[in-house]
Amino acid sequence: MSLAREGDESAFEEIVRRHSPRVFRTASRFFRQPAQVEDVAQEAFLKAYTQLSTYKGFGSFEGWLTRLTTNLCLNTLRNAKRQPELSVSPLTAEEGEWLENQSAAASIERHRASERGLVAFDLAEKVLSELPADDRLVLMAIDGDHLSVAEVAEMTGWSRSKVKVRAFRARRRMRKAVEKLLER
Amino acid sequence: MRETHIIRMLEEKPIGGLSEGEIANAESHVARCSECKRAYDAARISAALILARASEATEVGPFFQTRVMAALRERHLSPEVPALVRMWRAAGTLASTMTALLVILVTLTVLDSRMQSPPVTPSQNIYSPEYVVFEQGDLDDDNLAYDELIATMYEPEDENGQ
Repeated sequence: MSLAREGDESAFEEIVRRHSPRVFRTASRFFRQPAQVEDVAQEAFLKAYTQLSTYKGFGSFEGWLTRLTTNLCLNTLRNAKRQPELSVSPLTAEEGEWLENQSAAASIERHRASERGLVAFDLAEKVLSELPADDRLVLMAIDGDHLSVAEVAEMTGWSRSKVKVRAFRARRRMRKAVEKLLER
Repeated sequence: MRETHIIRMLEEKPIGGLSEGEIANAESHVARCSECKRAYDAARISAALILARASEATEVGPFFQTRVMAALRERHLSPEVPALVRMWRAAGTLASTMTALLVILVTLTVLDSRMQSPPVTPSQNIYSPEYVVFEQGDLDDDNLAYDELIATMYEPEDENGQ
C-alpha cells in the first residue's frame, strides 16, 4: 500500500488484481451492461490511485474502495438524465407472461423457483432503472445482496437511520412500480 | 380490520426476511383484504426481481488490469500528495523565495554604500579655511588668539580678491 501511495505502479497493479472482483460486484448493482460496469470500475481504480493518500488505514482498504466505487456509481447515475415520472418501457411478451405467472403464484416458495431467469433480470432492470439511484442502491444491497443496515451505512457513509428510511421508501416505490405493471 | 393491514410490514423489511409466522399472518390477511393482496403480490414480485437482478454480476475481464494501468499512464496520473505536505511544500517555497530576496536586498545595499564616495565635510576639504587653520596650521598660529583667528578666517576680501 505504501509503495502504491508513493507512485509504484506495479504495487498498484497488484491492488487492481486483488480488488477487481469486489469493485465489479459493486458496480454491477448499478449498471447492467458489462462495458459500462468495466468503465465505472476503471474510473474507480483511477480515482483510488490519485486519492490513496486519503486512506488513513483506519478501516479495511476494501471497505474504503467499495465506498469510493459506490459514490462514483451514485454520482454517475444521478448525473444521467432521469425521467421524472415512472414510465417503464413496454413489456415484451415474455415479461408479461412472467409477471402473470408470478401474480398467480400462491406462495413465496413457488416464485423462488423461477426468480433467476433472464426475463426476470431484464424486467428487474427496467423497473430499477426508473428508481432514484439511492433507492436502487439500498434495494440491491439489503434486499438483493442481504447486507445489513450497518454494512450499507459503512459503504455509503450514511447514518443507519438514513439507510433504514431509504430502504423503507425504496421498497414502497418499487412495490408501487410493480403494481402499475400488474394493472396493465 | 385496518390495524391488521400488512403494507407497513412489507415496507419495513425485505419479504425474504419475514418469519414463517409473519408470512402465515400475511397470507391469511390477504385472503380477505384485496388492497393488501395487491400490495403483497407486488412485494413478492419486487423481491423476486431484486434477487434476480442481484444474482447477476459482470465478471472481471482478463485484460482489465492492463486496461487500468494503460489508462493510468495515458492520463499521467500520480497519487495526490496529502494536503499537509502540500501546504508544507508551498510554505517552504515561499520561505526560500523570501530568504533569497532578503539576501539580494542586503547585498545590493552593501554594494551601493561601498560605491558611493564618502561625503566631504568642510573640515575635510583641504581648501577650506577651517581645514587650513585647524588641521594644517603652522605652529605659530597656535599663538593666535581666538578672536584674531576668526577675524583672519572671515575677514572680507579686498577688491583684488586677496
